[in-house]
Amino acid sequence: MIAHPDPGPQAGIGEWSPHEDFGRVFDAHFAEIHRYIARRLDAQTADDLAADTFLIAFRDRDRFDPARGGIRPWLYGIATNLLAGHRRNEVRRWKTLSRTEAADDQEGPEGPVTTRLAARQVTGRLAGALAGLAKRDRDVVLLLALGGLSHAEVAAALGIPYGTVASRLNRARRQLRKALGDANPLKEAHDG
Amino acid sequence: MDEISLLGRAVPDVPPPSSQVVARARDRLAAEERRPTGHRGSRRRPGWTWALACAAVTAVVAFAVVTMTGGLTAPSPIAPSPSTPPTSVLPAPSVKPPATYEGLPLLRSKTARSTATKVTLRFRPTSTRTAIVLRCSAPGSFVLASEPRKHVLSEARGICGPDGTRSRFDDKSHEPGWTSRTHTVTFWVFPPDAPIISPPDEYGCRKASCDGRYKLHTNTADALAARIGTRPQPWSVAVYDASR
Repeated sequence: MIAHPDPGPQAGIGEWSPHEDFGRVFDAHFAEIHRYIARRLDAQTADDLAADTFLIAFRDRDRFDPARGGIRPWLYGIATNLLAGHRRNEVRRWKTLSRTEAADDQEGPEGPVTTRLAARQVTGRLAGALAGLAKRDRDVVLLLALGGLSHAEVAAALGIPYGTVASRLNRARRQLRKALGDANPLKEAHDG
Repeated sequence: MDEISLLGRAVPDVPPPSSQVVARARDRLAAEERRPTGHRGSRRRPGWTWALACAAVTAVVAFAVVTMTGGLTAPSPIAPSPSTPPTSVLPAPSVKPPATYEGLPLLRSKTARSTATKVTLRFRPTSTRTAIVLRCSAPGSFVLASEPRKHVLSEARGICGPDGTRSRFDDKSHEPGWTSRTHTVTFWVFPPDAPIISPPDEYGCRKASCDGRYKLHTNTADALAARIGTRPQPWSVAVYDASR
């Protein structure tokens, strides 16, 4: 159903920096930051929060330290901090998605099972699990899943140790797996 | 395929931001670059150094006939300003402060129906997470905020917009002693075409006004307001503060 976002230009160490040309930072990453926020909340809120993200980044550009991570983790970290102010709305969104997809699941067609359809059928269960995750765990999971960040980049984005990312991820994975019935529906669908 | 990859595929996708959204965000950055007052470091001045950031909510209704919306009084048509195209009749962006802002509850707010007017807010913050948000129906409006403190008058200036309805002072609360006293802050908002010298040191004007244009200060605001008169361009100011 969903492809991972195009990571865009890798604006990391040794290339270009927000100190020099913030316009390039904006051009390269606005769409993906908007997409990340919109998938966690909604497009309308993303319009504002994505713009806020870049405004904050611009103001704090002097603090950007490429040695602590690239531009993408830096921007995703700011966006994730802004999302913290919308936690209730996000949880509400996951719960709504859980109910909607669950309803679709019950009315599902009986035609050939495709990967796309299988993914849709588990969306409700995953959304329900996301709603139940602690925010700190959800942030880790969604930075990986929606932002396409690596574990190290998530650590940089959230300003936490690498090991903490791993422990939060393990905890979240257990809950996601449990929501899926300790099985991988996609694999089951393919296997037939 | 693991849970994370599955999740990435399962969460519904969204369309990319429209060109208008991108343009508004870009304009906000451009406005920030033009902003005369700084945030910190060597750009920080003594006294009030509130930073002004601009946020865009709605651009297309910028020059529409303005009506009060969003639960103030009953909507009523208001005569267009002299620069308003006469044919457009669209609702103005609401300036009503929402109950929360970025997760912070509303502490205090006031709404004015016209520009070239001032409001004064008294508030006692309980945290250093205080956001003061101005919402202007006329994009590009000039904002002056001031607070008298003992022998010092602290001031900050900025633009409300440029293309939308909200500007934000948000780093003042990081100053020492922010929560230890009640603040009495006066806000002026002037229309975008007010004869204001911006930035104040432009043109090398050494007086309060030059060639009929005013520097935006507390001591010139009354004279400027008297000269241009009020216009039906609603605006609001709201203080948001983290709960104890």
